[in-house]
Amino acid sequence: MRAVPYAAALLLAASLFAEMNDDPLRATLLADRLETASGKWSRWERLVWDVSAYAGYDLDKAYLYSEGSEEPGESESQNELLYSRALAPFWDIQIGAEADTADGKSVGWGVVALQGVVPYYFETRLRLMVNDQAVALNAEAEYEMLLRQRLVLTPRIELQAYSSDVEELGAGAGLSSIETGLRLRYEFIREFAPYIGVAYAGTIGNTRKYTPRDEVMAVVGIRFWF
Amino acid sequence: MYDHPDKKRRLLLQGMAASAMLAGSGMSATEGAEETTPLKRQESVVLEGTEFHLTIDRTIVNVSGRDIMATTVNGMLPGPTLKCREGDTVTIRVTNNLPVSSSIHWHGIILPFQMDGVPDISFKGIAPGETFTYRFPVRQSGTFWYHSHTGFQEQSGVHGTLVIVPKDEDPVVSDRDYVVSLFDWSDEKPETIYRKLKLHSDYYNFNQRTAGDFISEMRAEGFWDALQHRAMWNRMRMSDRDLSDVTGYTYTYLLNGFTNAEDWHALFETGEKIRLRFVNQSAMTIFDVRIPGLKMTVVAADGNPVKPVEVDEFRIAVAETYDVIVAPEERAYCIFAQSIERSGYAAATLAPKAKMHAARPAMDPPQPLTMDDMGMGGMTGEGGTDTGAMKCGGGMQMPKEEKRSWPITPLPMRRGIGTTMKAANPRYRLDDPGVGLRENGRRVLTYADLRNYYSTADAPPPDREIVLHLTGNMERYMWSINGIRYADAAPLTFHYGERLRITFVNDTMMIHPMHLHGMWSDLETGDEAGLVRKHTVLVQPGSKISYRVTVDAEGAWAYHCHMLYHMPGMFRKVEVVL
Repeated sequence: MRAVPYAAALLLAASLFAEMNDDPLRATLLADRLETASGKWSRWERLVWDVSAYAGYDLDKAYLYSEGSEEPGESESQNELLYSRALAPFWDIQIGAEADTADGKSVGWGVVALQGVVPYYFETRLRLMVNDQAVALNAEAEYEMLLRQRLVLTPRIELQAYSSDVEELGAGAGLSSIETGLRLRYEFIREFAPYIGVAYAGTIGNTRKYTPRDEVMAVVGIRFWF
Repeated sequence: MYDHPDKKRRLLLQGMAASAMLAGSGMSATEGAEETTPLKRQESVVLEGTEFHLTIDRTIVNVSGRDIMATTVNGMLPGPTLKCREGDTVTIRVTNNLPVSSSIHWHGIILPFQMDGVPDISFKGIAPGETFTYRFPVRQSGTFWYHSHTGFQEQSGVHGTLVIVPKDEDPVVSDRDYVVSLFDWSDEKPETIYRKLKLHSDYYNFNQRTAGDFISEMRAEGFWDALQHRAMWNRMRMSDRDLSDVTGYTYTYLLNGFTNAEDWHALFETGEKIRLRFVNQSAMTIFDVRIPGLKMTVVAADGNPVKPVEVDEFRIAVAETYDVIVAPEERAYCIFAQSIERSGYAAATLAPKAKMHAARPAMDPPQPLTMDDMGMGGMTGEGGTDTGAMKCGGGMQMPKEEKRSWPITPLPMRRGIGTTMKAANPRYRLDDPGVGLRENGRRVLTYADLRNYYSTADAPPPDREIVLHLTGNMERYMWSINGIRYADAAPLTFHYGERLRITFVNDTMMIHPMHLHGMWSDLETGDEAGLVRKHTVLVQPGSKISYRVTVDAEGAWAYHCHMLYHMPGMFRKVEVVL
C-alpha cells in the first residue's frame, strides 16, 4: 500500500513537467471534519470524521469518501469508492460502491451520487444507494459564510432515508436520521483550520426502535487538506 | 546567501555605456552544459551589441529571506537587459543548463517564425545542455521583452527586457532612460500555485465578501437592494471580488528585481526629461502605476510610439509595455505600482540623490466588479445593482461598426462544462479604465486615449472578421477560447496577405491580456487614422474589443492569454497559409 502514494507522486511530477498541460493529474485529501464531541451521554468520547480524497483531472476523478463516528459501545461509518465525472459546469456525477458499518456489522451498496454547487453557493451532495435489501438516500448540504476573510461559519445538514429496514445498520424504513451542525473555523492557512461548534444528531421514526438517539453536542475539531 | 552589493552599483541602465562592452560571447556564468549546480543570483546588467550569449540556469535567489531555486537568464533576476539597434541582424546563442527543456521567446518582435521560440509551434525547444542560436534582422524599435515559453519557467525567473534603439531619429526625446520592469516573484513553485488554483480557485483571494461587507452595503444601499445585489452574484455562483487569481499572499512584487525594502533608485539631474520604459514581466499580476505628484506623458505602447497623452496613472497588463516621459522637480518621487487586487505593490524612488526617499502612498481599496464586468451592463432587470462606478452610455467610444462590410468567418464554439458565464451584452469599453481605477479622481489612461504616432489612414480595411470568445470555468479553474481548450482545438487559419479583423468577447470576469505572436495587433480606438500597434491587448471582463491584423508573416504562431496559469488552456496555434 505504501507504493500507492509514491506512484501517485511520480505521476504528478511527470505530468507537471509536461509542457502546456492545462490539466495535470492531481491528488488531494480533505478532512472536512475531524472532531471530538461532548453530549449528554458522552464527555469528549465521541470521535467524528468526514474525509474525502481524490486523484484525477478536471473532468474525471477517482474519489474516496469516509464518514463516521466512534464512541464507547457504538460505532458507524460510511465508506465509498467512486468514479466521478463532470456533468455540468458545477456538477459531477459519481458512480461506485459503498460499505457501511455499524457496531462491527457491514452492508454493501451500489452508489450513484450527484455532487455540486447549487446557486447561492450551497455545496451539496445527493447519493442513492442500492442493494438487494433496500434503497437508501443520503442528502447533505453545507454553506460557507465568511464572517472575516479567515473566519468561516459553516452550517451543515445531512439526512438519511431507507426504503425498508436494514437491521445490520440499525436503520428503519423511512427517514432515518438527521445530522445538523454549525461550525466556526479559523483558517490559519487555507490548509489548516481548527474549529468549534455545535452539532445535533438524531434518529427518526422506525429507526428509533433500533437506535434511539437525540443529542446536542459541543464539538471541537480541525479541518485540513493537502 | 545572496549578499546585496552597494545599491548604487546595481542601478540598471545607469551606466549603459560602461556595461556595453560586456556584450558578446563568453560572459556566461557557466560554461559546462552538463553542469547544473545552482548558481548564486547575479546583479542584472545591460548587454549591448549584435551578439549575445545567454544561459538558462538554476540559480539560488533570496527575495523574501529564504534561499529558493529559480530558473534565470545568466543567473540574473530579471535577466540581462539586451540592447540592440534597429537594422542590425542580431545573433543570440541560448544555452539551456536546466535539467528540463527550455526556450526563449522574443515578445513582440517581428521575425521569422523559426526564431520565435515557442516549443512545438516554431521549434522543438532547447533540450538540456543544448545551445540554440537565434538570428534575425531587427526591423523595429522600442521597449520589448523576452521570456521562456516552456512550462511555467517564466514565473520562476526566465525573463528580461529588450531595448531596441531606432535606426533613425527617435520620436521620443529624453535626457535619461530607465527600464522599469515589474515582476511577481513567489517562493512557491509555479506548479504548486497551479495545483492550488485547480483545487481551490479562490485559494489566494483574501478579499472575499464577508458578512461585515453585507452590513456596510446595507447601510449604503438599503437592506433590500443590498440583499438583491448579493443574491444575484450568489445565484450565479460568482464573486464580484474575483480580481486576481494569485495575489500578494504568495507574491513579492519586484521592480527591476528589487524588493520594496531594497528601494531601487532612478537618479536624475534637475531639469532633465526622463524616459521610463515600463515592462510588465509578471506571470499573473496586472499593475496600476503612478508617480504621486508627477504627471506622466505616455509616448509609446508595446514599443510603438503613440501621440503623447498626459496622465496620472495607467494600468499595465501582463506583457504590455508603456514608455512614459516625466519631468521631475528637484525632489524625490515614489514610482508606485499596485497590483489590481491591491494585495501588494512594487515601489521604487525617482530622485536627484540616492539618499533621498519619497513617502509611499497607501494602496487604494480594491473595487468590486460591476454588472458591466459581467457583460450585463445596460440591461434591464439589474435590480438597481449598477454600482454606477463607470461612465457609460452616449460617451462610450467604440469602433465604427456600421461601416462593417466584411464577412465573419464562423468558428467552432462549445458551451459546456468549461464555461460558466456568457456575457449577455458585451460592449466596447475602450474609455473604461477598468475595475479599481474608476472615478478615483486621477487622470487614468484608457485605450481610448491611445492614437498611433503615425497616421494609419491609409491602412487597408479588413477582408474578413473572426470572433473569439474568451471562456472559462472559475470553479474548476479551466480556461479556453470559444469553450475549447488548446489541447482539443484545431489551429486557426490565417491567409497570407489578408487583413483580418479580430474581435474578442470576454465571457469571463477576469482580464485577459491576449498576445498574438509574429504580427501586429492594430487596435481599433474609434479613429481609423490612429490605430494603435500593440502586441498584447487587455480584454476587460464582460467586454469586447477589436483589432486589425495584417497577415504578413509566414509560418506557425502562438496566440494566447498571457496570464501564465490561463495560458495552458486559453491558447491557439495560428497557421498562416498561402
